[in-house]
Amino acid sequence: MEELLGHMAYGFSVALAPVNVGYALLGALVGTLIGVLPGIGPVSGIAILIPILYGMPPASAMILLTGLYYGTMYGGSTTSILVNVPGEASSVVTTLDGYQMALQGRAGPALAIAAIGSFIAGTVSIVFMMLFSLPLARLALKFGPAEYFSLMVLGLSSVTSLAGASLTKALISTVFGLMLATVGVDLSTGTARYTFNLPQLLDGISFIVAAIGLFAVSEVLLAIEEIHAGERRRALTVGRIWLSWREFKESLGAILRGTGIGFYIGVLPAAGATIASFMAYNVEKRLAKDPEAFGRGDIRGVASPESANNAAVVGNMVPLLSLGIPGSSTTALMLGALMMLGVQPGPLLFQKHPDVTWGLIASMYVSNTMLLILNLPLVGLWVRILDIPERILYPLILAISVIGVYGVSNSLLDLYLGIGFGLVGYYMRRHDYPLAPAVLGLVLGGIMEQSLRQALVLSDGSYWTLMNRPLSLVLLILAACSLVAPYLITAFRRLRVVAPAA
Amino acid sequence: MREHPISRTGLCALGALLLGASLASPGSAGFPEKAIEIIAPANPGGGWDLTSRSTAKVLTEEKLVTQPIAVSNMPGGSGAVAISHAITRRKGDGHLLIAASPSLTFTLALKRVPYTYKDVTPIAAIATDYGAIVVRKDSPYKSLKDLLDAYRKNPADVSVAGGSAPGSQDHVKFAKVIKAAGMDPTKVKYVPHQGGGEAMASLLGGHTAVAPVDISEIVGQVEAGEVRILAVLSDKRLGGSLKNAPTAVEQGVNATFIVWRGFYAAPGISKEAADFWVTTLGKMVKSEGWKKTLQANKWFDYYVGGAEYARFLNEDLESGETLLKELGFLK
Repeated sequence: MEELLGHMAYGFSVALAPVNVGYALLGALVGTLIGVLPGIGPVSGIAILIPILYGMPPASAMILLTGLYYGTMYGGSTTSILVNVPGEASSVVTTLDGYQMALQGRAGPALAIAAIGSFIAGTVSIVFMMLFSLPLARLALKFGPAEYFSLMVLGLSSVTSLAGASLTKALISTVFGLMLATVGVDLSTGTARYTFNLPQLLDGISFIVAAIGLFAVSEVLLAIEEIHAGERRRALTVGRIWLSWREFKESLGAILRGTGIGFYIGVLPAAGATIASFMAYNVEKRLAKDPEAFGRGDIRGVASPESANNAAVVGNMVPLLSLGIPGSSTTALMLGALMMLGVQPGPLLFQKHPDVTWGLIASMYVSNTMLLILNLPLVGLWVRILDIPERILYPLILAISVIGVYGVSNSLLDLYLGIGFGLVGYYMRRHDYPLAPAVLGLVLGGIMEQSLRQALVLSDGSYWTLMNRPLSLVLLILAACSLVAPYLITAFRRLRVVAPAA
Repeated sequence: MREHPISRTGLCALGALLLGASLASPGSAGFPEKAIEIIAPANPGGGWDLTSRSTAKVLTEEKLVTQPIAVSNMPGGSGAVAISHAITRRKGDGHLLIAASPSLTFTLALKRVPYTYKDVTPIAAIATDYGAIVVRKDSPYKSLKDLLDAYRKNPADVSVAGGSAPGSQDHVKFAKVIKAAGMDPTKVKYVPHQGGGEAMASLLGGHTAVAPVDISEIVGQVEAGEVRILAVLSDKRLGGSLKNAPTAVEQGVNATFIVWRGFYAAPGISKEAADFWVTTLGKMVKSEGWKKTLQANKWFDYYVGGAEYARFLNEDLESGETLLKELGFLK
């Protein structure tokens, strides 16, 4: 403990150096902005910054990048709540209840709880990270292909929570996402699948393109049509900007559970903030006494995924700092940046570059506090977005989406795909197919297929490997429970209603 | 500080003179006459990005190129998108360089795009990394011989964690070693992962037995004693913290794997432009700034330029294709 305090004191001496506080603030600001803009995510944000990092001290560079990564999670919820367009993949789930809250004139509390939840989740996760970084990273390595597959099945089972009126339609949407995930070079055989000889498709369909098309473009199309027909419901700016004490108390459980789930999933290499947010939402809905309130503007439905995605970001840093293993595309970029700055990532990082590791951990507290201070007053400003006339707002969303898609990949094909997804998304919305499951399928599909096939290579083709490993079995059982739980509950309730009548 | 108006004009004139002089010095014919673009065919933060940005930096700092150099990223299909772009859109553009490495060779060998190195203008290889075979510190395999004996007994016991699809770099590294030891490389139990980081996690977590890696990426793990190097796939032992790591060659297995890093240009560029790049990169690798870059990135000194490089690439591609045929990836 004494030793740890010494490390932290040193860390804060690095993090609170004026220049590093400046970098943390810059990262937080840029991150929030990137988070707010749909289509531009942490990966592109860091990619844009990497050239500027040359020649910077490694600790400062990492503080800047982490502040940015973190800021994107704070900002990602903003457009999800206000205009039903997620700023990041990890804020897709937030649209479900967040946008409903905005329609009811409760955009202010929704934005505030997202910021407060992010803050609590971030702070608690950093404490975890400080205390248990190395043992946690070691534990995460025990997760093998079979466990990953089962974890993804559990993730997929959360579809039942995302389903609106019809589970069938939710499943069709999921399968659509899973099918999209098969495009590209098949990692297990090296065969190019569904690429139509287009080299741009060899790496698969970019996640950003699908999410932007399905959500942002379709939202714009729908808005045009509804405004013409005069039936567009606008989110209201009336009502309180601030959170009431009761709302905070209601959300606290969701925030803490979201933190736990998010952090744990974040520590596992290859899982990530998006999966964490879906799973946290699912757990929250399952535990609620009134699950039917979710999807209709329940504040817990905003608090839980927004806490989970911030906790996952911190969790993501654990394998990177303690083992030198990147757990997501964003941390892979950070690893590249470290190498570029002449720092060898690896298990010795804490001893060799304590300024980078402890300084970074301390600066995460700093960034977190900054982001809260920055974001709470911004709530008042963001809510004003709803005052922008529609004929300006929707073209603006479309323009930003185009920039987000094209600016990152420089690929025209991505732009066409985005428009295509927009039409598909429009059709799905018109016919009540939920969009979130498609995104879930696309995110999970690749990892799920890959881990299944890795597990089968290792077990020489025996599917028992999924059952023989205790952790994998537990995850599969949880997934099964998650799938049948809603039906059991309804059946049980029916019984209770019918019984007295008999 | 207040400036005298005359001094500003004077400075401008002097600047223009200097600029003119420096532009005229290399090649003296005026190439390059506009801004240069270097394409990294991958996302920022990876090896190709590092190659491109380091080169841009050193060329500028050593004043070997006075025109501004912009690095852009064009990810997709391990170099497939960028090479298609160069061939179909940028024919004859001498102000463009694209980073390459054996990943591209396998992209071409596996016929991901209908091109070969003959469709572009090879410039030079400027640095190299080496393949290596590593195990966990607590692995029963103490030497390459132990590993090969285990493979001889039952290939299925030796699971191999790679960071790319079968038939790509990591798979081929291992297959080369098995083949050089006189065994059947088609029996390799290869478990592909999405990138070297995930493969390393699989190895360290005990899910797989060995990992074929690029040595620069695991220096941190070696120094921490987390992994043991069974064989470095270079001709001679490497220096520094790797001096105790034996090569495959010295253990009687004649397998090497050079992870060269270099550049090619678009097809049909002028001879002047091609010559300029070959000589300029040749000057660059001798500079102090480049030595520092090699150290920082844990790369090794290596230069092959011009016609020799083109020969080298074509041979690389042919031998890659031969090996892939043996492994059953090509008809």
